[in-house]
Amino acid sequence: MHERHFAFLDESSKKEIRRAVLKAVAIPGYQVPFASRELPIARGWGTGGLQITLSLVGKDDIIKVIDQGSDESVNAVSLRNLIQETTDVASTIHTTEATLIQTRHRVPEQPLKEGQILILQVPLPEPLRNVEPSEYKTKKLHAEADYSGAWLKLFEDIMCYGQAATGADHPVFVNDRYVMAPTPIPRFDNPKLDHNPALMLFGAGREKKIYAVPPYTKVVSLAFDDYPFQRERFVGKKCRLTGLENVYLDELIDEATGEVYYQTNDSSYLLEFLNRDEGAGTV
Amino acid sequence: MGYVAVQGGAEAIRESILLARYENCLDGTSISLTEIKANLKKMVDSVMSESSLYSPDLAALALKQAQGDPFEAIFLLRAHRSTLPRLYFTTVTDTAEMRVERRISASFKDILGGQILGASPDYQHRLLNWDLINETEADVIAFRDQYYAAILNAMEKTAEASFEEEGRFPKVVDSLRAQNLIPQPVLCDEEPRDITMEPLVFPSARSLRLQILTRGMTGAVTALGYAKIRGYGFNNHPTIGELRVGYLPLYVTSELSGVCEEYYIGEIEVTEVEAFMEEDRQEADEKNQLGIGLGYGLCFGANEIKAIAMSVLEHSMENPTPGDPTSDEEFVLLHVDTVEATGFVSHLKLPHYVTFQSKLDRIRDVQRGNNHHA
Amino acid sequence: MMDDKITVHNTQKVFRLILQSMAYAGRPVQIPDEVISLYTNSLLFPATMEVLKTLLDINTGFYCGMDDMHTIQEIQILTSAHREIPEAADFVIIPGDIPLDAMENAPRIMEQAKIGTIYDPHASATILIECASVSHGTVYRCEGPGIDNNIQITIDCAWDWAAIRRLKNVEFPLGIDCIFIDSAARVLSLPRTTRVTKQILNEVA
Repeated sequence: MHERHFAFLDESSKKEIRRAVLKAVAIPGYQVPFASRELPIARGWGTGGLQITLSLVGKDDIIKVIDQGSDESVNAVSLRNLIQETTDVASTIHTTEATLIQTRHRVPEQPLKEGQILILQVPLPEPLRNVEPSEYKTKKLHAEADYSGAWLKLFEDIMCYGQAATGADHPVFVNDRYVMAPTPIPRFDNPKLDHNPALMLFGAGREKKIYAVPPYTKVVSLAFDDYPFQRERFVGKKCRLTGLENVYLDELIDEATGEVYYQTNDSSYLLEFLNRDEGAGTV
Repeated sequence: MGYVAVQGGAEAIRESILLARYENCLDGTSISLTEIKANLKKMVDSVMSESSLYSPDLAALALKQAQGDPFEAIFLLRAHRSTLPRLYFTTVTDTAEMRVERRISASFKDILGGQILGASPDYQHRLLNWDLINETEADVIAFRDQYYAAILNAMEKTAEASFEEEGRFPKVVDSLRAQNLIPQPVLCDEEPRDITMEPLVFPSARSLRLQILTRGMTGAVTALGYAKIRGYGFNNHPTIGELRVGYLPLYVTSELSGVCEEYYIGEIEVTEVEAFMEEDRQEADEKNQLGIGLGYGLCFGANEIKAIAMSVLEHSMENPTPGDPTSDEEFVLLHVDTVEATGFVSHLKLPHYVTFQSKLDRIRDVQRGNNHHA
Repeated sequence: MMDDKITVHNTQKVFRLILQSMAYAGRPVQIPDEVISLYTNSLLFPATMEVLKTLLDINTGFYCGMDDMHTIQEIQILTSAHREIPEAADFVIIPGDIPLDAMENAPRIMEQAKIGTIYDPHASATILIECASVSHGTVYRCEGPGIDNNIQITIDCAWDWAAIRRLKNVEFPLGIDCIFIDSAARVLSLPRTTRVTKQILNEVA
């Protein structure tokens, strides 16, 4: 076995990513192109987020990796293993303990604090892709702040369906300048991006883009005054284990009764809530 | 202690890897890298080409590890490639220096130096060869030695001094250039860009387009090249001026000894295609003139279909036709990469229940809304 | 390229500090002594050399606003970066400890730095400004992303960077990003998004 380089990437790859990250922070919501290296993880499986994490991580960091709200799903485990095998850094499931949090499709329920960095994996960084397939043209639209296509799409949705039709990945307006894809986080998480005390970095490995929302930055979900932005609604539903209501819920089916029930999606938040007053058992 | 997380993920991964290994070992046999290189050369070639890493040994290892899945093998090699430092860059290689094993032209019956069919399945009838079922190593060795002896014998009889001795041949395209049917190329001294070290932005440069095509997925490049000549944007199919398979010598320079010296580092097998395309040209007097343009394809190893399709797509993007997807560089370049395409398609296997829940919420909401109207 | 283990971990630390300062615009960070080496051939602050070592490589061009060839060579040896004219440099270094005539040059150098294009606003310069202090001096009020409401910063710098910075950054997203480095190895960053106004106040010690 030959020794692997700290954090897998060679230093010059890290430098390129680090420079891109700094520019991304300086221009909130703007997609900075970068070369994107191939990793031992498949393109589309979190390589953008991973390249940012590997370029940022140091010996003193404590990492947390989540996929769909869970620290223990196979992809989260696989990504965390790769980071730890090449760095030996500590890991945690507790949001408050983590310095770097790499995530796919969720922003943790536990509010983030200053100094923490949330790294989101991005499948499709271009919020205008569904109105314009050409990268050259969407780049131009962003340059000219021409977002009429995005507004028109929203308007058409309302005409057709009586509301916006986006599920997750509902576009946001960052710092009153760039329309940005928040990644396929549920709309429930969109408001968490606004004026968050933590730095949020977004990495798209296959599409080769890095972008950022700095701390305390204005982030507004695209909506019309008379058709305001709507989060997913779990009216009358609550977590079967905790009774929590104001969290994103997974919809599950009871194997014995065949009944639908709900459970807090953020697995570490759920555990922490249950352990608040020393319960016992497994989730 | 209280509640703890169900730690199924790590264990499931471990078991899944063990099971895959077990299934691969069920038959109790193992194939050597030598056997892979010798018997599956074309596969090794296409894996090297799509990985953009020229190493038959590593390609064979990757194929073995990937249980013969070329996508997986390419993925392994690409990941390995990104850990390799760049120590030197080769100097400019003139493909006229190729040690040719095979060369054909579809444009001319007679070409200077002659057509060399070389080793090709083109005129073999595709009938299953039942003899291979029980072929032994002794059979292979016997054929090899017998064939080699026959060649030596034939060479002694015809001791002709010609191009073939060095394996170097004049290029077909040069004779057309001499006749002014193809314009002399404009010398481009621009440093070639490196698609693995810089982001691809549009409009791109020709060096970037050629790189993406040469490391593109063989099937994807072929399919899009086919679409182009079948009817999307093209009214006249290209004619292969010259197709060559052979070996290119590579050199690097070093100043370690104090003076800049060139060192031979070995040779690589490549397939090169120069295809002739009919073109409309605007002359200085603004009259339209018919001319011949050139499409260029080059890839690692013996992979003729890919090199031909590459020449078609390369020319297509150099001479875009409105409404033709195969001349839209974004359409072609962003979709032919093996690792990107397989990665994104396979990521659909990852759980999406958070996003799907969000979608369901929207659909239920819309349906509820519609019901109200009814 | 220096890829030894100590460099790997030191540049990682320095990068995270720079990132933190860029994310929390206007808040100074301290580069700890243990990651700072001695650079006997350079007239720049050792902390500036660490920042350069962290951010520059063969793919970047820099302009250093001083004529000292030893310093410039030292940067090239450490980073493999190439020299550029101020208009084309990715990193523009404005030394703190420079003679008076060069002091007059500082504003001119900053004026020339590239601000990117509306298509590629990231293709703009990062300005490294050496100054006496980022914890006392002239008081400025800052607002923008990275800042909860507003903060006051204090920078002791011999020339009026704020006026030129404002001119360079009028057309967001075009602009320059500034990293101030002081003699005590403290770093304060002002991305182009930060709106800076001079406060008419007495010096804060």
